[in-house]
Amino acid sequence: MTQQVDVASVALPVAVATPLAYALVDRIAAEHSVRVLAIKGPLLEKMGLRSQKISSDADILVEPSRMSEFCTILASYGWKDRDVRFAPSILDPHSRTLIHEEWPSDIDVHSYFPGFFGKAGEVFDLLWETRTQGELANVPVLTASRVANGVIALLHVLRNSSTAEDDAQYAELIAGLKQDMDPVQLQSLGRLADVGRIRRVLEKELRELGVDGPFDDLTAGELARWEINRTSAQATTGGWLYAIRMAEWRSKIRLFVRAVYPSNEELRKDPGMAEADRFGLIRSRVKRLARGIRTLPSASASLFKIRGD
Amino acid sequence: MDKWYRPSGIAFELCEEAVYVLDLRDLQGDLRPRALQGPAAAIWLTLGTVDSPCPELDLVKSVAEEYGMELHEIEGPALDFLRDLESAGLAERMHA
Repeated sequence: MTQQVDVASVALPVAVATPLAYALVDRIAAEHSVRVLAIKGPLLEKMGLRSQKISSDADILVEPSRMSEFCTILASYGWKDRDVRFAPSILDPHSRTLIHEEWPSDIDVHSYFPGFFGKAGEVFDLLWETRTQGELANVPVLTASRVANGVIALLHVLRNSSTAEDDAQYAELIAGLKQDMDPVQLQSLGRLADVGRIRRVLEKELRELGVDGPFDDLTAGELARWEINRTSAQATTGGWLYAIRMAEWRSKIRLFVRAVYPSNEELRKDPGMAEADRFGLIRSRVKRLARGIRTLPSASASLFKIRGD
Repeated sequence: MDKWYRPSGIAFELCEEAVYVLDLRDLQGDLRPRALQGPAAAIWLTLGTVDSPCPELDLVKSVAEEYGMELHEIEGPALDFLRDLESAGLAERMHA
Protein backbone atom coordinates (compact mmCIF):
# COMPACT_ATOMS: atom_id res chain seq x y z
CA MET A 1 0.00 0.00 0.00
CA THR A 2 2.18 2.83 -1.27
CA GLN A 3 -0.43 5.54 -1.62
CA GLN A 4 1.36 7.91 0.70
CA VAL A 5 2.88 10.56 -1.54
CA ASP A 6 3.93 14.12 -1.10
CA VAL A 7 2.70 17.33 -2.62
CA ALA A 8 5.55 17.37 -5.11
CA SER A 9 3.96 14.50 -7.02
CA VAL A 10 0.27 15.21 -6.37
CA ALA A 11 -1.03 18.69 -7.06
CA LEU A 12 -2.58 20.17 -3.94
CA PRO A 13 -6.15 21.28 -4.79
CA VAL A 14 -7.02 24.87 -3.83
CA ALA A 15 -10.13 23.63 -2.04
CA VAL A 16 -7.84 21.72 0.31
CA ALA A 17 -4.91 24.11 0.43
CA THR A 18 -6.86 27.10 1.75
CA PRO A 19 -8.21 25.50 4.95
CA LEU A 20 -4.82 23.87 5.53
CA ALA A 21 -3.16 27.29 5.13
CA TYR A 22 -5.52 28.78 7.72
CA ALA A 23 -4.61 25.95 10.11
CA LEU A 24 -0.90 26.45 9.45
CA VAL A 25 -1.04 30.19 10.10
CA ASP A 26 -2.98 29.69 13.33
CA ARG A 27 -0.33 27.23 14.54
CA ILE A 28 2.58 29.51 13.56
CA ALA A 29 0.92 32.47 15.28
CA ALA A 30 0.46 30.47 18.49
CA GLU A 31 4.06 29.28 18.36
CA HIS A 32 5.32 32.87 18.07
CA SER A 33 2.76 34.38 20.46
CA VAL A 34 1.33 36.73 17.85
CA ARG A 35 -2.38 37.55 18.06
CA VAL A 36 -3.91 36.42 14.77
CA LEU A 37 -7.52 35.82 13.79
CA ALA A 38 -8.71 33.82 10.80
CA ILE A 39 -11.45 35.71 8.97
CA LYS A 40 -13.74 35.30 5.94
CA GLY A 41 -13.51 32.40 3.49
CA PRO A 42 -14.63 28.96 4.67
CA LEU A 43 -15.31 30.34 8.16
CA LEU A 44 -18.32 32.17 6.75
CA GLU A 45 -19.72 28.84 5.56
CA LYS A 46 -19.13 27.23 8.95
CA MET A 47 -20.93 30.15 10.59
CA GLY A 48 -23.90 29.91 8.23
CA LEU A 49 -23.16 33.27 6.62
CA ARG A 50 -22.32 32.07 3.14
CA SER A 51 -23.07 29.09 0.94
CA GLN A 52 -20.22 26.83 -0.05
CA LYS A 53 -17.58 28.35 -2.27
CA ILE A 54 -13.92 27.58 -2.89
CA SER A 55 -11.67 30.27 -1.44
CA SER A 56 -8.31 30.78 -3.10
CA ASP A 57 -6.74 32.63 -0.20
CA ALA A 58 -6.60 32.43 3.55
CA ASP A 59 -7.51 35.83 5.03
CA ILE A 60 -6.07 36.60 8.42
CA LEU A 61 -6.10 39.63 10.67
CA VAL A 62 -2.96 40.24 12.70
CA GLU A 63 -2.45 42.67 15.57
CA PRO A 64 -1.49 45.82 13.63
CA SER A 65 1.68 46.63 15.57
CA ARG A 66 3.11 43.20 14.67
CA MET A 67 2.06 43.03 11.01
CA SER A 68 5.57 43.40 9.65
CA GLU A 69 7.08 41.05 12.23
CA PHE A 70 4.49 38.37 11.49
CA CYS A 71 5.07 38.63 7.72
CA THR A 72 8.78 38.13 8.42
CA ILE A 73 7.95 35.07 10.51
CA LEU A 74 5.79 33.68 7.69
CA ALA A 75 8.60 34.40 5.23
CA SER A 76 10.84 32.12 7.30
CA TYR A 77 8.36 29.33 6.45
CA GLY A 78 8.55 30.13 2.74
CA TRP A 79 5.61 32.55 2.45
CA LYS A 80 6.89 35.60 0.54
CA ASP A 81 5.25 38.79 -0.71
CA ARG A 82 3.58 38.53 -4.10
CA ASP A 83 5.26 40.92 -6.51
CA VAL A 84 2.46 43.20 -7.70
CA ARG A 85 2.46 46.49 -9.60
CA PHE A 86 2.44 49.48 -7.31
CA ALA A 87 -1.01 51.08 -7.28
CA PRO A 88 -1.77 53.55 -4.52
CA SER A 89 -5.06 53.15 -2.72
CA ILE A 90 -7.29 55.90 -1.52
CA LEU A 91 -7.73 53.88 1.66
CA ASP A 92 -4.71 53.19 3.85
CA PRO A 93 -2.51 50.20 2.93
CA HIS A 94 -3.98 47.34 4.89
CA SER A 95 -2.82 43.99 3.63
CA ARG A 96 -0.02 41.96 2.15
CA THR A 97 -0.48 38.95 -0.09
CA LEU A 98 1.94 36.12 0.61
CA ILE A 99 2.59 33.21 -1.71
CA HIS A 100 4.49 29.93 -1.38
CA GLU A 101 6.00 28.09 -4.31
CA GLU A 102 4.50 24.76 -3.18
CA TRP A 103 1.03 26.00 -2.27
CA PRO A 104 -1.71 27.03 -4.72
CA SER A 105 -3.43 29.32 -2.18
CA ASP A 106 -2.31 32.76 -1.02
CA ILE A 107 -2.30 34.10 2.52
CA ASP A 108 -3.74 37.61 2.78
CA VAL A 109 -2.40 39.21 5.94
CA HIS A 110 -4.51 42.19 7.04
CA SER A 111 -3.61 44.69 9.73
CA TYR A 112 -7.09 46.18 9.53
CA PHE A 113 -10.03 45.90 7.20
CA PRO A 114 -11.05 48.78 4.87
CA GLY A 115 -14.37 50.26 5.94
CA PHE A 116 -13.39 50.35 9.60
CA PHE A 117 -12.42 53.97 10.28
CA GLY A 118 -11.70 53.36 13.99
CA LYS A 119 -8.11 53.12 15.18
CA ALA A 120 -6.67 49.87 13.84
CA GLY A 121 -5.25 48.79 17.21
CA GLU A 122 -8.51 49.44 19.04
CA VAL A 123 -10.56 47.64 16.41
CA PHE A 124 -8.24 44.65 16.59
CA ASP A 125 -8.32 44.61 20.39
CA LEU A 126 -12.11 44.42 20.32
CA LEU A 127 -12.11 41.67 17.68
CA TRP A 128 -9.57 39.76 19.78
CA GLU A 129 -11.56 40.25 22.98
CA THR A 130 -14.70 38.87 21.32
CA ARG A 131 -12.92 36.11 19.38
CA THR A 132 -14.20 32.59 19.18
CA GLN A 133 -12.82 29.22 18.19
CA GLY A 134 -13.68 27.78 14.83
CA GLU A 135 -12.51 24.65 13.10
CA LEU A 136 -10.77 24.40 9.75
CA ALA A 137 -9.02 21.35 8.32
CA ASN A 138 -10.22 19.47 11.41
CA VAL A 139 -8.16 21.54 13.85
CA PRO A 140 -9.23 24.50 15.99
CA VAL A 141 -8.42 28.01 14.73
CA LEU A 142 -9.03 31.34 16.41
CA THR A 143 -11.44 33.55 14.54
CA ALA A 144 -13.45 36.73 14.99
CA SER A 145 -16.95 36.36 16.40
CA ARG A 146 -19.78 35.47 14.05
CA VAL A 147 -21.08 39.05 14.12
CA ALA A 148 -17.59 40.45 13.42
CA ASN A 149 -16.99 37.98 10.59
CA GLY A 150 -20.33 39.02 9.12
CA VAL A 151 -19.45 42.72 9.38
CA ILE A 152 -16.02 42.18 7.79
CA ALA A 153 -17.62 40.24 4.95
CA LEU A 154 -20.21 43.00 4.46
CA LEU A 155 -17.47 45.63 4.27
CA HIS A 156 -15.65 43.45 1.76
CA VAL A 157 -18.73 43.10 -0.43
CA LEU A 158 -19.51 46.82 -0.23
CA ARG A 159 -16.04 48.25 -0.68
CA ASN A 160 -16.02 47.95 -4.47
CA SER A 161 -18.68 48.18 -7.16
CA SER A 162 -20.98 45.23 -6.76
CA THR A 163 -21.26 42.26 -9.07
CA ALA A 164 -24.12 39.77 -9.24
CA GLU A 165 -22.07 37.45 -7.03
CA ASP A 166 -21.54 40.23 -4.47
CA ASP A 167 -25.28 40.95 -4.45
CA ALA A 168 -26.06 37.30 -3.73
CA GLN A 169 -23.46 37.18 -0.99
CA TYR A 170 -24.77 40.42 0.50
CA ALA A 171 -28.26 38.94 0.73
CA GLU A 172 -26.89 35.78 2.37
CA LEU A 173 -24.92 37.79 4.90
CA ILE A 174 -27.85 39.96 5.93
CA ALA A 175 -30.16 36.94 6.16
CA GLY A 176 -27.56 34.99 8.18
CA LEU A 177 -26.91 37.85 10.60
CA LYS A 178 -30.64 38.53 11.07
CA GLN A 179 -31.26 34.90 11.92
CA ASP A 180 -29.19 34.98 15.13
CA MET A 181 -29.67 38.61 16.11
CA ASP A 182 -30.62 38.29 19.76
CA PRO A 183 -30.11 41.14 22.26
CA VAL A 184 -26.58 39.96 23.12
CA GLN A 185 -25.54 39.84 19.46
CA LEU A 186 -27.16 43.20 18.89
CA GLN A 187 -25.16 44.70 21.73
CA SER A 188 -21.95 43.24 20.28
CA LEU A 189 -22.80 44.64 16.88
CA GLY A 190 -23.47 48.09 18.35
CA ARG A 191 -20.15 48.04 20.20
CA LEU A 192 -18.28 46.98 17.07
CA ALA A 193 -20.05 49.73 15.11
CA ASP A 194 -18.87 52.32 17.68
CA VAL A 195 -15.26 51.18 18.08
CA GLY A 196 -14.90 50.36 14.37
CA ARG A 197 -16.59 53.61 13.26
CA ILE A 198 -18.65 51.79 10.67
CA ARG A 199 -22.00 53.39 11.48
CA ARG A 200 -22.08 55.64 8.41
CA VAL A 201 -20.57 53.08 6.06
CA LEU A 202 -23.02 50.35 7.12
CA GLU A 203 -25.95 52.59 8.06
CA LYS A 204 -28.51 50.74 5.95
CA GLU A 205 -27.35 47.32 7.14
CA LEU A 206 -27.11 48.29 10.82
CA ARG A 207 -30.62 49.77 10.74
CA GLU A 208 -31.91 46.61 9.12
CA LEU A 209 -30.28 44.50 11.84
CA GLY A 210 -31.83 46.62 14.58
CA VAL A 211 -28.98 48.92 15.65
CA ASP A 212 -30.13 52.39 16.73
CA GLY A 213 -28.50 55.63 15.52
CA PRO A 214 -26.72 57.97 15.34
CA PHE A 215 -24.96 57.09 12.10
CA ASP A 216 -22.87 60.17 11.41
CA ASP A 217 -19.49 58.94 12.61
CA LEU A 218 -17.33 59.91 9.62
CA THR A 219 -15.87 63.21 8.44
CA ALA A 220 -16.83 64.36 4.95
CA GLY A 221 -13.32 63.47 3.81
CA GLU A 222 -13.45 59.95 5.20
CA LEU A 223 -16.83 59.37 3.60
CA ALA A 224 -15.57 60.68 0.25
CA ARG A 225 -12.57 58.32 0.37
CA TRP A 226 -14.89 55.40 1.04
CA GLU A 227 -17.23 56.39 -1.79
CA ILE A 228 -14.41 56.84 -4.33
CA ASN A 229 -13.04 53.44 -3.40
CA ARG A 230 -16.48 51.89 -3.80
CA THR A 231 -16.63 52.97 -7.41
CA SER A 232 -14.09 50.64 -8.94
CA ALA A 233 -13.91 52.62 -12.18
CA GLN A 234 -12.74 55.60 -10.16
CA ALA A 235 -10.73 53.72 -7.57
CA THR A 236 -7.44 53.42 -9.47
CA THR A 237 -7.48 56.95 -10.85
CA GLY A 238 -8.70 58.27 -7.50
CA GLY A 239 -5.92 56.38 -5.73
CA TRP A 240 -3.24 57.94 -7.91
CA LEU A 241 -4.73 61.42 -7.62
CA TYR A 242 -4.98 61.06 -3.88
CA ALA A 243 -1.39 59.81 -3.61
CA ILE A 244 -0.12 62.70 -5.77
CA ARG A 245 -2.08 65.18 -3.72
CA MET A 246 -0.81 63.85 -0.42
CA ALA A 247 2.83 63.50 -1.54
CA GLU A 248 5.57 66.05 -0.89
CA TRP A 249 6.32 68.35 -3.82
CA ARG A 250 9.42 66.50 -4.92
CA SER A 251 7.56 63.19 -5.00
CA LYS A 252 4.52 64.54 -6.84
CA ILE A 253 6.25 64.61 -10.25
CA ARG A 254 7.74 61.16 -9.79
CA LEU A 255 4.31 59.77 -8.83
CA PHE A 256 2.65 61.52 -11.76
CA VAL A 257 5.12 59.99 -14.23
CA ARG A 258 4.68 56.59 -12.62
CA ALA A 259 0.89 56.92 -12.90
CA VAL A 260 0.90 57.98 -16.55
CA TYR A 261 3.85 55.97 -17.83
CA PRO A 262 4.66 52.94 -15.67
CA SER A 263 7.83 51.04 -16.59
CA ASN A 264 7.68 47.85 -18.65
CA GLU A 265 8.80 45.96 -15.57
CA GLU A 266 5.85 47.34 -13.60
CA LEU A 267 3.34 46.57 -16.36
CA ARG A 268 4.60 42.98 -16.57
CA LYS A 269 3.53 42.43 -12.96
CA ASP A 270 -0.12 42.67 -14.03
CA PRO A 271 -2.02 39.37 -14.34
CA GLY A 272 -1.31 37.72 -17.72
CA MET A 273 1.30 40.31 -18.69
CA ALA A 274 4.50 38.52 -17.64
CA GLU A 275 5.32 37.43 -21.21
CA ALA A 276 3.85 40.46 -23.01
CA ASP A 277 5.78 41.64 -26.07
CA ARG A 278 6.32 45.29 -27.14
CA PHE A 279 2.87 45.52 -28.74
CA GLY A 280 1.18 43.97 -25.73
CA LEU A 281 2.82 46.57 -23.50
CA ILE A 282 1.74 49.40 -25.81
CA ARG A 283 -1.84 48.10 -25.84
CA SER A 284 -1.82 47.93 -22.04
CA ARG A 285 -0.52 51.52 -21.79
CA VAL A 286 -3.18 52.83 -24.17
CA LYS A 287 -5.96 51.02 -22.27
CA ARG A 288 -4.70 52.37 -18.95
CA LEU A 289 -4.51 55.90 -20.27
CA ALA A 290 -7.97 55.73 -21.82
CA ARG A 291 -9.42 54.43 -18.57
CA GLY A 292 -7.60 57.14 -16.62
CA ILE A 293 -8.87 59.91 -18.88
CA ARG A 294 -12.42 58.54 -18.81
CA THR A 295 -12.55 58.39 -15.00
CA LEU A 296 -10.49 61.53 -14.32
CA PRO A 297 -13.39 64.02 -14.12
CA SER A 298 -15.50 61.96 -11.70
CA ALA A 299 -12.48 60.93 -9.62
CA SER A 300 -11.31 64.57 -9.41
CA ALA A 301 -14.78 65.76 -8.43
CA SER A 302 -15.01 63.13 -5.68
CA LEU A 303 -11.48 63.89 -4.51
CA PHE A 304 -12.35 67.56 -4.19
CA LYS A 305 -14.64 66.57 -1.32
CA ILE A 306 -11.70 65.18 0.64
CA ARG A 307 -10.42 68.06 2.67
CA GLY A 308 -8.21 68.10 5.68
CA ASP A 309 -7.62 64.30 5.74
CA MET B 1 -6.26 -6.09 20.34
CA ASP B 2 -4.56 -2.77 19.62
CA LYS B 3 -6.62 0.33 18.95
CA TRP B 4 -5.55 3.12 16.60
CA TYR B 5 -6.15 6.85 16.50
CA ARG B 6 -5.14 10.06 14.76
CA PRO B 7 -2.87 12.20 16.95
CA SER B 8 -4.15 15.68 17.68
CA GLY B 9 -2.35 18.59 16.01
CA ILE B 10 -2.62 17.11 12.54
CA ALA B 11 -4.73 19.09 10.08
CA PHE B 12 -6.41 17.19 7.30
CA GLU B 13 -8.89 17.75 4.51
CA LEU B 14 -10.75 15.30 2.37
CA CYS B 15 -11.03 15.97 -1.35
CA GLU B 16 -12.56 13.43 -3.68
CA GLU B 17 -10.73 10.15 -3.06
CA ALA B 18 -7.76 11.61 -1.20
CA VAL B 19 -6.98 12.89 2.27
CA TYR B 20 -4.42 15.68 2.53
CA VAL B 21 -2.57 15.61 5.84
CA LEU B 22 -0.48 18.40 7.37
CA ASP B 23 1.43 17.69 10.57
CA LEU B 24 1.41 20.91 12.58
CA ARG B 25 3.12 19.55 15.68
CA ASP B 26 6.65 20.26 14.53
CA LEU B 27 6.97 23.58 12.75
CA GLN B 28 10.63 22.87 12.03
CA GLY B 29 9.68 19.68 10.21
CA ASP B 30 8.34 19.13 6.71
CA LEU B 31 5.35 21.46 6.33
CA ARG B 32 4.19 20.09 2.99
CA PRO B 33 0.80 18.42 3.02
CA ARG B 34 0.93 14.72 2.20
CA ALA B 35 -1.73 13.01 0.13
CA LEU B 36 -3.18 9.67 1.15
CA GLN B 37 -5.18 8.05 -1.60
CA GLY B 38 -7.58 5.14 -2.00
CA PRO B 39 -7.42 2.53 0.80
CA ALA B 40 -4.73 4.59 2.56
CA ALA B 41 -7.18 7.49 2.81
CA ALA B 42 -9.91 5.13 4.03
CA ILE B 43 -7.61 3.76 6.75
CA TRP B 44 -6.64 7.27 7.89
CA LEU B 45 -10.27 8.34 8.15
CA THR B 46 -11.20 5.20 10.09
CA LEU B 47 -8.42 5.61 12.67
CA GLY B 48 -10.59 7.31 15.27
CA THR B 49 -9.53 9.86 17.84
CA VAL B 50 -7.68 9.55 21.12
CA ASP B 51 -11.05 9.58 22.90
CA SER B 52 -12.49 7.00 20.57
CA PRO B 53 -9.73 4.88 19.02
CA CYS B 54 -10.60 2.26 16.45
CA PRO B 55 -9.89 -1.43 17.19
CA GLU B 56 -7.45 -2.86 14.64
CA LEU B 57 -9.80 -5.57 13.38
CA ASP B 58 -12.71 -3.13 12.95
CA LEU B 59 -10.43 -0.85 11.01
CA VAL B 60 -9.33 -3.56 8.58
CA LYS B 61 -12.90 -4.87 8.19
CA SER B 62 -14.21 -1.41 7.46
CA VAL B 63 -11.69 -0.81 4.67
CA ALA B 64 -12.24 -4.29 3.24
CA GLU B 65 -15.99 -3.64 3.10
CA GLU B 66 -15.55 -0.24 1.53
CA TYR B 67 -13.37 -1.65 -1.24
CA GLY B 68 -15.26 -4.95 -1.64
CA MET B 69 -12.19 -6.99 -0.73
CA GLU B 70 -11.73 -10.12 1.37
CA LEU B 71 -10.31 -9.54 4.83
CA HIS B 72 -7.27 -11.75 4.16
CA GLU B 73 -6.48 -9.77 0.99
CA ILE B 74 -6.21 -6.46 2.73
CA GLU B 75 -5.18 -7.34 6.27
CA GLY B 76 -1.43 -7.64 5.62
CA PRO B 77 -1.02 -4.44 3.56
CA ALA B 78 -3.35 -2.52 5.87
CA LEU B 79 -1.38 -3.47 8.98
CA ASP B 80 1.91 -2.63 7.22
CA PHE B 81 0.47 0.73 6.28
CA LEU B 82 -0.66 1.38 9.85
CA ARG B 83 2.90 0.77 11.02
CA ASP B 84 4.20 3.10 8.30
CA LEU B 85 1.81 5.76 9.56
CA GLU B 86 2.91 5.08 13.11
CA SER B 87 6.61 5.49 12.26
CA ALA B 88 5.79 8.72 10.42
CA GLY B 89 4.01 9.93 13.57
CA LEU B 90 0.69 10.13 11.76
CA ALA B 91 -1.02 7.35 13.73
CA GLU B 92 -0.78 6.22 17.32
CA ARG B 93 -1.95 3.07 19.00
CA MET B 94 -3.18 1.97 22.36
CA HIS B 95 -1.83 -1.44 23.14
CA ALA B 96 -4.36 -3.98 24.28
